[in-house]
Amino acid sequence: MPEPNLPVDDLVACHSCDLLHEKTALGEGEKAWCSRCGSLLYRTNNNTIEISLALTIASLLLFLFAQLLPFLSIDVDGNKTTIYLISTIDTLSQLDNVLLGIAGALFLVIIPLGVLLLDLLLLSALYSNKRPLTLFARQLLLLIGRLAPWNMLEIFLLGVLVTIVKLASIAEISLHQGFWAFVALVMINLFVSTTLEPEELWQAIDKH
Amino acid sequence: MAGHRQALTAMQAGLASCHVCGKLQSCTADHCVRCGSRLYQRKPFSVQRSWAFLITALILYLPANLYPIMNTTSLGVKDEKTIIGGVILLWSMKSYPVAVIIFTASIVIPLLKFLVISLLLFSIWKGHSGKLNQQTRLFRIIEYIGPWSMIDVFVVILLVALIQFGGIATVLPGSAAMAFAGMVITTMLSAISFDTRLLWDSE
Ligand SMILES: [Zn+2]
Ligand SMILES: [Zn+2]
Repeated sequence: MPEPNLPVDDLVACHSCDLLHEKTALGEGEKAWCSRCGSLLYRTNNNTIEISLALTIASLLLFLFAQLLPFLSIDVDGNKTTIYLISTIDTLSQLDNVLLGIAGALFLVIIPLGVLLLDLLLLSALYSNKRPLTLFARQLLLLIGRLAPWNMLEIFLLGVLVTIVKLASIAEISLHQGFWAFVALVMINLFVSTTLEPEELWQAIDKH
Repeated sequence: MAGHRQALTAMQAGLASCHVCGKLQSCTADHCVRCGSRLYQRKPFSVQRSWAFLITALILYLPANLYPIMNTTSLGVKDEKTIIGGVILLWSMKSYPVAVIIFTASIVIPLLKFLVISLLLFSIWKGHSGKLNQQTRLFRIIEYIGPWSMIDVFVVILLVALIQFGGIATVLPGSAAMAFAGMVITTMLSAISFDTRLLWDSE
């Protein structure tokens, strides 16, 4: 039943199978699915720009705490070492394994911090509602989209847990404030990424 | 289910949804009206790029598993462990949950990714339709779980940083660590290059 004369803006194409659907209005928290392949077509955003901005600022603070406060310490027969997340990069760079140092810096610091800072800039630009932000905001959102798949904080958290279990048999491990800040950061990140819809951000930019 | 079903795909209707921002628009333009990215109806050279990254990943998979991922020196005794060697050690120490996590993340997930992506690429090549619903869902699952393979690299990074008590023990990253990280990154690039729409085009 194709409606050939529907305007393009009233249509949506499935990102998995390309089938066209007519857009319908959704209630809060509702999702629209593709009738052919079952993929998610679009959904409504439960988060306002304001809430997302607040969560981003909280995440940035938690990120700083996680990096700069003691993360965890290991005690072997009274020999105690405390590490900071930020110092792991330093340790790696002192070895002759430069590539692993770069990988660590990228995945543990540069990419997550970059995404948070870009989020902060974009959301505060949208929130303050100043013109002209279009070109700038578009570039920011493009960059965020490119970096997103490489943001692996929750995977790193599982890595931390595995490390703790591995070491628990030979040494005493204690967790510090940095670790708990990191856990909170991952929780907030997961919440934001399931509620913040890029499409709605694009539409918010389009409205300016 | 949203809207009523239109029998057309965007491509058949002369439309394209931008690969970067998702905006649906006429495919006659060179660049997306919303984000300015190059506009394509399908990801350019999707199959070739996907294969290229996948084959690179397969090549890296060998050193990643054959060489030690971690070198431990404890009281002058050297110990080199490959990924699978580490899993066996964990299992023998009765750390079953961790052994299962590492085995799944480091061995099973990469193999599943190789298998699924190459099967789907073959399916596109042969123009077979088969169960497209399942193939699409399978791809989305693989795409989601792929990055979790990085766990072991993060564990190595943490152990190296943690175990620095002068003289008693040192832990150094083995040559497999970088090969392994490279393998995970290239399989992710392979998945990012893959376009599930190509599966449905033959329908
Ligand atoms: Zn679909
Ligand atoms: Zn676009």
